[in-house]
Amino acid sequence: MILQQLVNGLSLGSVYAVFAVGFTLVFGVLNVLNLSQGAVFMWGAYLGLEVVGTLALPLPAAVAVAFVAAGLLGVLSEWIVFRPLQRRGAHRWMGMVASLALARILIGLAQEAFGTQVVRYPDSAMTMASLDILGARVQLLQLVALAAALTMVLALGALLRLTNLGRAIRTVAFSETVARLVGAPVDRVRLATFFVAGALAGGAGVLWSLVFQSVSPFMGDAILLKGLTVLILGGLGNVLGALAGGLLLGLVEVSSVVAVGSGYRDAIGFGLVLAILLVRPTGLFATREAKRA
Amino acid sequence: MTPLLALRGVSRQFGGVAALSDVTFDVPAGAVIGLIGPNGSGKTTLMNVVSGVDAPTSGAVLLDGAPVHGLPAHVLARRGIARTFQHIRLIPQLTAAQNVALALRRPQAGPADILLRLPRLRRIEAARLSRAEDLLARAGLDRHGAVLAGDLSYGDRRRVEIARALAAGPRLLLLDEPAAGMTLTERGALRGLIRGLRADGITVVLVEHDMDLVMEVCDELRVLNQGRPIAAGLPAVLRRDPRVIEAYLGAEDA
Amino acid sequence: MTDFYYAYENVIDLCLLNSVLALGCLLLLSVNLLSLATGGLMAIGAYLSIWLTMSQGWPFAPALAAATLAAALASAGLGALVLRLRGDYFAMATLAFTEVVRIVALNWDGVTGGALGVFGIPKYTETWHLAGLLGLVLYIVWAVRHSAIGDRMRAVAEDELAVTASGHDVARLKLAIFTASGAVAGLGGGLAAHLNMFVAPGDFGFLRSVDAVVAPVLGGVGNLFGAVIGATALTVLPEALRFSAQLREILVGGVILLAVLFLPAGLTSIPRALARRMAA
Repeated sequence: MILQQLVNGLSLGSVYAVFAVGFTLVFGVLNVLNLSQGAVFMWGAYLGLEVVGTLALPLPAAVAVAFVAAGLLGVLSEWIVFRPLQRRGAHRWMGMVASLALARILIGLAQEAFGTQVVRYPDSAMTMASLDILGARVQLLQLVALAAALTMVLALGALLRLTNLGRAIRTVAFSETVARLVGAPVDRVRLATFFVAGALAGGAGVLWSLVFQSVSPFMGDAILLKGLTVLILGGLGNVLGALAGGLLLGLVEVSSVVAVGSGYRDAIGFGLVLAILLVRPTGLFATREAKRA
Repeated sequence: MTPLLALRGVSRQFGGVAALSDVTFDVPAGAVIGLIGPNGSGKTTLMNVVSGVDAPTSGAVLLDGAPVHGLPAHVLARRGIARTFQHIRLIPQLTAAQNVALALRRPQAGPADILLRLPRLRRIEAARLSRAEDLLARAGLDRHGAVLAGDLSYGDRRRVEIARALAAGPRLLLLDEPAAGMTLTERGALRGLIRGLRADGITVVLVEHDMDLVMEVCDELRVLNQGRPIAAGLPAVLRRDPRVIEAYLGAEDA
Repeated sequence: MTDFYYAYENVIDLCLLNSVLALGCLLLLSVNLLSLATGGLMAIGAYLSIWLTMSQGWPFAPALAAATLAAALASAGLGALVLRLRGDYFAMATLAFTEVVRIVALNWDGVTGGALGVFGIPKYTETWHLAGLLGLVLYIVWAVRHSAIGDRMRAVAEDELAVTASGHDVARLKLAIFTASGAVAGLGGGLAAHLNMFVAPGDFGFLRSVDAVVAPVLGGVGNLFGAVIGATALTVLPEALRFSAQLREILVGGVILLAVLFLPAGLTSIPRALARRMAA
């Protein structure tokens, strides 16, 4: 029972983590909150569904397509919204408002293209499989989601630590001005960051719809709120914090269903956010905000 | 006699770095005290600690013998400590007079005056603006009250900042590099202003790199180096003090 | 004119209501606070006033007064806790508040009717109530902006330290503004609840809060009527596009996006921008 809850919590949390890692990366590197990320997540889910449904390709292909296409949507948000605003030196509200508007457009387009009903991925051997581990009944998919989440986050970690692009990204995160001075390719770094964040959101979209068997144009709103929660839990701009915060939120939500019933599940996360902000005004694992101050 | 301002073992750590360590000195009432030292010696940190913008890690700041460290800046401002900033902090969208009026405590319109637009309101606001103009004139900036602060020259902005600090009615005025960016003429006027303030009984702590100005207007100096007080005394004596010369020369070498 | 009113009474009411809420947010924006607490505070005012009029037999006016007071107290309490948070953290803490209130409303069936909502609410709110309130709030915001307090608010938005060093308790000023804005949201919530005979928790969520804060940005925060024009645009546009839900989202999103990208000072700057173009 406990093991079962643990797996449920971790697989839920791993989807949160994948989404939030991209979210926090954009914040940490570029100091902007991209609120269209939820809509990108939703588009990832739909595109993946098109690949396995309409095109009848295998699941990995769906993940790959969602990943790349959502990454390109991320790039689009930089081109359309954030770069022009940054050039103009606009107030940061403007980015938040404009990215929300972009989200509205993406949601409207999804309604136009896919309708408003809740749909689901077709059953396959993989989505149906489950195994018994120490008496707990675990869906194979949950383990796959967890593994995929950890892989994506670790890959991102490796990208940031080991590659030239990663070094450039970290330089820009430290200070865009410094990065320009030392000749780091700032514009490319911004695009790459938005691509990675979009791709992770799209990947999370496919994972989510596989595990929870539901895809709809409005699925992005809920995950956006979860992403913001994880962002606070993990500290704005902290990639590892987002991983830890995502898993933590998943575990807390699953155990709160047991403790206080499912009605208040979503309140627990926000209650936690309020509580943490009161004790630690810059989040649970705040590091970079402290550095920046 | 109790000094107006007394620092007792004041330290301020930033992470592992000590910006101030164990600073102890007095500022007697009515004096103009120059606070000098090479760049990075902790002068601005000290100004921040005294004005309540920052709090000391340890040690005490006493105003008239009463501890005031850790009190928020607005409380200290009301208790008579006003300051200017090394990096000018005016509100560019407000006029010079409005900037000065920000710090005026009296006359002040109440909520009823504002919401009911009582006739009193116009009188109060006129009085505030004319008081602000007076303070601007005192700081050497006549007939500039209606100019947006963002449109003023650098030296004029410094004078608006001084006028704003004076508007708070301070007993202790902290001036952080007031002459920076001023022309020679403006510096001359500043010298006259500081002497005038002293004549009015306002105590001044002056942080300034213009040594001629410091030597001419200050009654006494306090010298900081690497966050520690290394000397205190009369300007004429300290300018030949080997410790002071070394601190400055050492800094120039670096 | 009367025909027009009867045909569009509902839209007019919503425009007035949303303008009031937007002005509450404008007050906060003018001290650099982006609050997403509007929805939660509205919900408090709405549910309290419904409970008072429907279960406790209170007349409308005292029920509204109670709603206003309760929301003001709630926002004073919330503000005391979260106003020290900086920038995005503040916005998110207020969002968390709104969501917590919404989820409590979803689960507190006895008072809120749970997810189904409350039906058969007496329609007490008249258009002139909303118009009167909008006039009053406009006047108050105008009077405050054109006073020394208004200067101080502009200064806080630009440089808090300068204001603090001038002897003002910035935290107290922000708390006062946050409380006032909360009172406006609570009153708006009470009026909204008695406008449409039906209320559900979803009416007071994230989107409600977002629209209230987008309106003044869309209209232009530098102009008193920006909030009104922005709120009107955000209300009328979706109504006009009622025939197509998806097109509505696309077009509303498109209008906001274009305004933010090409009209930095908001819709109210269009006449000036046009004049400049004509001159050039």
